Amino acid sequence: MTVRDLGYRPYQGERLPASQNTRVMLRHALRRAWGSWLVKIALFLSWVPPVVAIAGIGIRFYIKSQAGDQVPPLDAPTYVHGLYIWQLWLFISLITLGAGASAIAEDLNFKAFQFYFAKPVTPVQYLISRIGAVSILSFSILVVPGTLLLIAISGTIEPELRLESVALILPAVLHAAVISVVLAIASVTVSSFSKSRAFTMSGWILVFLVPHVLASIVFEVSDWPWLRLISLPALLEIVGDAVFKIEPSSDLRWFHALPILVAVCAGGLTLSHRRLRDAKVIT
Amino acid sequence: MSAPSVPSLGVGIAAVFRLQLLRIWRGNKLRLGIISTVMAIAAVGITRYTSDTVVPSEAMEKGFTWGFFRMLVFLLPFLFTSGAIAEEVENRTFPFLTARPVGRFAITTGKFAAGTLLSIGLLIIGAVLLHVIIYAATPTALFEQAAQTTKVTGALVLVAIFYCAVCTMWGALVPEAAGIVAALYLAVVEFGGSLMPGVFRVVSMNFHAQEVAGMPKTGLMSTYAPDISPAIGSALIAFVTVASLTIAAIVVQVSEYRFSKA
Amino acid sequence: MSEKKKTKGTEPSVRAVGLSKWYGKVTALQDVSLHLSPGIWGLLGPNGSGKTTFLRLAAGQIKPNLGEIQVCGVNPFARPEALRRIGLCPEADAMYDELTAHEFVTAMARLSGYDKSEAADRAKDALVAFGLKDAMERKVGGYSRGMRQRAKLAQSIVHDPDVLLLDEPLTGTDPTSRAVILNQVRQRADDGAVVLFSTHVLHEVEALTEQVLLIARGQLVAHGQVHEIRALLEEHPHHIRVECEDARRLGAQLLAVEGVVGMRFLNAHCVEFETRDPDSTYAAIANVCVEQDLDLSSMTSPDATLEALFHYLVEHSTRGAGTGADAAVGSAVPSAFRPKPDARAAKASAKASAKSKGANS
Repeated sequence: MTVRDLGYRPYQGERLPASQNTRVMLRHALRRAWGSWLVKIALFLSWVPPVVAIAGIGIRFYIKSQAGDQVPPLDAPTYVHGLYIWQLWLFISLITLGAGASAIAEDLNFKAFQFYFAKPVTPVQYLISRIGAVSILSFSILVVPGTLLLIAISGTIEPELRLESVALILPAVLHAAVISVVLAIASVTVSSFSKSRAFTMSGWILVFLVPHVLASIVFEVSDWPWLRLISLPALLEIVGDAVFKIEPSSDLRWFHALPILVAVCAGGLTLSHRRLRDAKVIT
Repeated sequence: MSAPSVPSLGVGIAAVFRLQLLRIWRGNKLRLGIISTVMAIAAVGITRYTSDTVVPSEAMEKGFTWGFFRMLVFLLPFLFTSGAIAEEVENRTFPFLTARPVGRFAITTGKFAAGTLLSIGLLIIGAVLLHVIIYAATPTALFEQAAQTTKVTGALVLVAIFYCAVCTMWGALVPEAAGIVAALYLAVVEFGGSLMPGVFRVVSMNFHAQEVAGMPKTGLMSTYAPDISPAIGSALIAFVTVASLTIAAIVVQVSEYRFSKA
Repeated sequence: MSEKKKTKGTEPSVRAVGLSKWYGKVTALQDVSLHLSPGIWGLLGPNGSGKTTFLRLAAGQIKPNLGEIQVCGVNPFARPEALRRIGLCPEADAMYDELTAHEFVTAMARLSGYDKSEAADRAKDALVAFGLKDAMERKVGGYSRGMRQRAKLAQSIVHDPDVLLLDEPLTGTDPTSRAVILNQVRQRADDGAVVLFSTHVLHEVEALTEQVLLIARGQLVAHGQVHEIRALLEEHPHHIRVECEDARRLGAQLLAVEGVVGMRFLNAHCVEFETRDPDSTYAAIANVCVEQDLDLSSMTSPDATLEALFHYLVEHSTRGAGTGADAAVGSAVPSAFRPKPDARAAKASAKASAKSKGANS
């Protein structure tokens, strides 16, 4: 039996080199992430806390101009770190839920791997793009409001503290990067566990919330803080205390939290890469 | 060639209920629910016996507040009911049910009943286990505090049924994003609402359930929160439960659910 | 099977009058009127032509925007009294992967109203009928595509439906499975059911039935027996394809033959003639081959297959409807093949046109 040529003609135009795949995939992943209305809501509403915080600074500046030295100096690191914690709980949780925790599950469910891996796209490039998209979105809703807040603080703070507050931009960027990358890796890893979006999203809610609630129960009952080391948001908060040089609220220090975060990231990357590598391309 | 007669509503609900129960039983969500329940109980139990300063009744109260009212009562209904209809629509298995003569009301009710049974089952088992573990070393308190534990468990069951109904409703209304919308509703209106200052927290059924249970008020400006009688609170929760379930049933009855159209 | 469960109803049938369905601005089905009596009916059409939409309307999964559809005399949408007589095998390769095939089909039987033991027995019989005897206690998630398809088909017949609606039932099946499925379909039709199965693979229909419905761009372009429809095609030029050692020489000799209105060389050894007088052209080809001592390999008519009929009708369909690529181009429905609408259908059709004009403006 002969196989007839049904009219296929090879593409003759310019082709991007394979090294550009990551960039192309990242752009695609960003578009996909933007397709989630949960992400849109999060990006839109994420301006509310910084606006409130900046308004607070304005009010404080007004009161200080009226009352003089009776108003204590503003603790800029705590203020910025506080904003990050709000952003983390309110909006980054939504972005990781909408774009991260469903990323790989969706491709598994819709059998989309063949469109990626039948081309010269490697699982590593795919993974980087997925994690990168969630990281970029999360980073943007931390660092942009954080920078604006720092500008507002610098403009209204006592002159002798101004340089110090401007210098906070570095820890602000660093901590934003840590939060974004850790939560993006963790959520995308969870999304590789099943082809059911509902299951992976439920799983991410559990991973994000349950350990924190358990740590809170134990802390409430016995003031024992060490269980906070199983909670991702708590670990990030502890590292943030160190980055912003804030006095920690418990015995936990950054050198307790950081190794766990590194292990979570390394384990998550290994696990998700293995699941991608073992995934059936043609299904 | 002759098909069977139309099954009665009871037979239909029972058939859907059994199928849904079997599917949850075989799936991973039940494991997640059991693990979360066990972890919450274990956290309180271990703390109770490893710390010398812990008062059992206080541990019980904190365990109920944090473990049950702030976690399990949201988590279990969410796991077992938010995807009951939505996942079927998304996975394109819903036509297997809607093409059968059980009727769409039976589909909604059967799925809701299966999720509710598992949710309240785990909550009741969890509450009893917690009670036994916390008071095991003080047999007198084990019996004295049983009434209070029963009251709290009753309130938990009541609000869990409402959450199952509300998750079923969101699953029917927005199957494309049921999990997200249900999670947002529970997080913002129910959890966030229960901590809101003063009178604003009446929007949250979780607050009413805590009032029914006789739990101490917590959260922002809790002293300004109104005192609601258990009868009114229970009636309110029952009313919104029936309303949510009615909306879910109506929506399923009239919807085409063409998640992936022709 | 317990007799007390069985109920007698009206004669199995599917009847549509002026049926139209649209998804937003896309018209999936437009002004379809038909009546299907017991037997096997092939629902043919290209991808996106509206086949699945029609089946979903008939199965009571969706509601028509205009017109009406009745299965055994009842509108099927969310109506248990109609649904009890319908068996549906959806197209999507989606099942409850966590259940075994036996559990799945038993659950479907219980949803049809059978008690536990009868449902289990029926499920077993249905699965055995589709060749899944040895695999029925395995989870469906581990099945091959063909096995899944057979399990889906088993659930569609487990309650002895009077109307069996099968959406692309042979997708992903091997020749052995295909034979098993076709055999079951024939048996259901022999038992008095209306079996409507959709496909875009034409030889599947030819192997099973003479009765076809052709849908293109959301419209019913033909409805009836294949040979009846083909007879109507006599008016249009007939094609004869000849393979021989020198196609150009044969072509040159045939130019003078009366009735030959065109020819096309497919390659050096193959020529296709277009003729208005097939009989004399066949005779002339034979004569030329003898006279010119041409070595003739084959002589066929592409028009003799359902494929040709299908393409002819589809290419001549004018109004654009349907949900897929097929909806993109418009053309004319040959009036001879258009099913005759009754007055109600005509009214519905007029309404549909007015509505679609409104939507376009």
